[in-house]
Amino acid sequence: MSVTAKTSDDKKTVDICVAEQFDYSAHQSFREAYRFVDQPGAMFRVDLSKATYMDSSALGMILLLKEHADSLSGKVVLAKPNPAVHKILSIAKFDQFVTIEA
Amino acid sequence: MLCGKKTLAGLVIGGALLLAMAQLLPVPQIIVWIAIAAVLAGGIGLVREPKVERPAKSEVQAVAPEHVDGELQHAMEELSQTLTHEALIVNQEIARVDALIKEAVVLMSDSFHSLHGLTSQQSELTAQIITRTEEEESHGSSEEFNIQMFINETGSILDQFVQVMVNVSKNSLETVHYIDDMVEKLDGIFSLIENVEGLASQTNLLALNASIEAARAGEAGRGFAVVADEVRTLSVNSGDLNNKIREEMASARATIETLRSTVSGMAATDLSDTIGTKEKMTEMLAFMASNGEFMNSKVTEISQLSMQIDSTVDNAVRSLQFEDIASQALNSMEHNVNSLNEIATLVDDMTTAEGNLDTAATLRCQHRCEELRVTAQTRNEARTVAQNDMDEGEIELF
Repeated sequence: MSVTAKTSDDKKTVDICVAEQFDYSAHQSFREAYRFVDQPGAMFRVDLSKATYMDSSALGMILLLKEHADSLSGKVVLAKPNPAVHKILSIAKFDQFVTIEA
Repeated sequence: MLCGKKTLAGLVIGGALLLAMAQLLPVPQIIVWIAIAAVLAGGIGLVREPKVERPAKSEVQAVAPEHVDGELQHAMEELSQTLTHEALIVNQEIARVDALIKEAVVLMSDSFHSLHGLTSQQSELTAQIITRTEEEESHGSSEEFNIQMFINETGSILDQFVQVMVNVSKNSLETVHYIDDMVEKLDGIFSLIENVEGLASQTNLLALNASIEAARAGEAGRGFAVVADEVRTLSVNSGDLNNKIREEMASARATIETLRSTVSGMAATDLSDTIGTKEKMTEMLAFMASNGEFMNSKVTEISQLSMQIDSTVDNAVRSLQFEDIASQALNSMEHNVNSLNEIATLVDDMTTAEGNLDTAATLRCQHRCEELRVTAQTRNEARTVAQNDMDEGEIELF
């Protein structure tokens, strides 16, 4: 699986870890990671530390996750992007509406 | 006595030689003066010598006390001629130097004048460059082509492009998700169709059983057998219908698969090129900014340089005052040369045609020499005070 997800016991926090290639091939498993989380105020933490490549569909996935989180009044946090991935995020201006943790 | 005479004659001849050399070589004025002074001193000494020593001489040579020594007379004639000759050459040279200086000064003044014009043109040009860059920086001159603005616009268009791309990806993914959901529903319908198929085959079986029972009943079951047959036909028909539905559903599913892959194609776009372009543009903007700064500072330096050139030219023009001083110096040299001429005449008069010493003429010469020396000293002192400093007073370019 290109995406592994771990939901905390209280279902309040979902840790999503993506593989090296964060692209279209990951979309189904990425969706499955959050699709059935309906706890209000849930926090989705996407661990990008392994990712070395990201295309526009990855950005689309993050946007869809954000929409899902917004519908639950939840929050999305992008964690540990490497410099190249961080560059993509800032060029798409994601840093303006998603929290990015170093 | 004789020895002293020889020294003085040597002084005269040495001075004359020095003067002659001064004509040939471009030596400083001071050497010319030294030479003239030597000639004068030697000449005067020679003239004075006999007078001072006369009593002793008359004691030794009782015969013809007024008779001038042949050697001395010859020397005095030479002295007079040399003085006249040298004075003539010095005068010639003075006239030549004066003309040369005047000509050179006119030329130099002209070239400094045109240099001044050129530097002011240069300053004007640099000033224009500075004003123009400042204008461009301050209000970006909307009508004119502005590279910085162009790059900024391109940058914002690129940003929009990235936004559009991300949105397309998002919408495509959403569509794919919906298609996935639809495919799930379709799979549900397939299992329902299988259920319906099960019902049909059971009905078929039931109709078969019914027709068997009808056959066993004989004549009485004949009508029922017809009904059972009809039911069986219906079950077969519904089975066919189910198969058709399944086929249609399968083809719909294939279409949906095609749709899914098409939409997937829209979802993924590589961003590397966009990122590369964006970085290049940022670099270009930085380069342009630094380039502009560099140009500005250098142009400012150039304009400062032209100011310095201007002041240097002013200094040079001021230095052209040397013409005045030089012609004054040459003028006073003419005085001295005239004195030399006069002395030459006086020295010539000191001996009579018979070779005797004219006492009255000698005295006259002595007095005149003293007078001339005093005049020359006074004039020299006045000159050194007046002409030492060329920097005094500024000169404005005309």
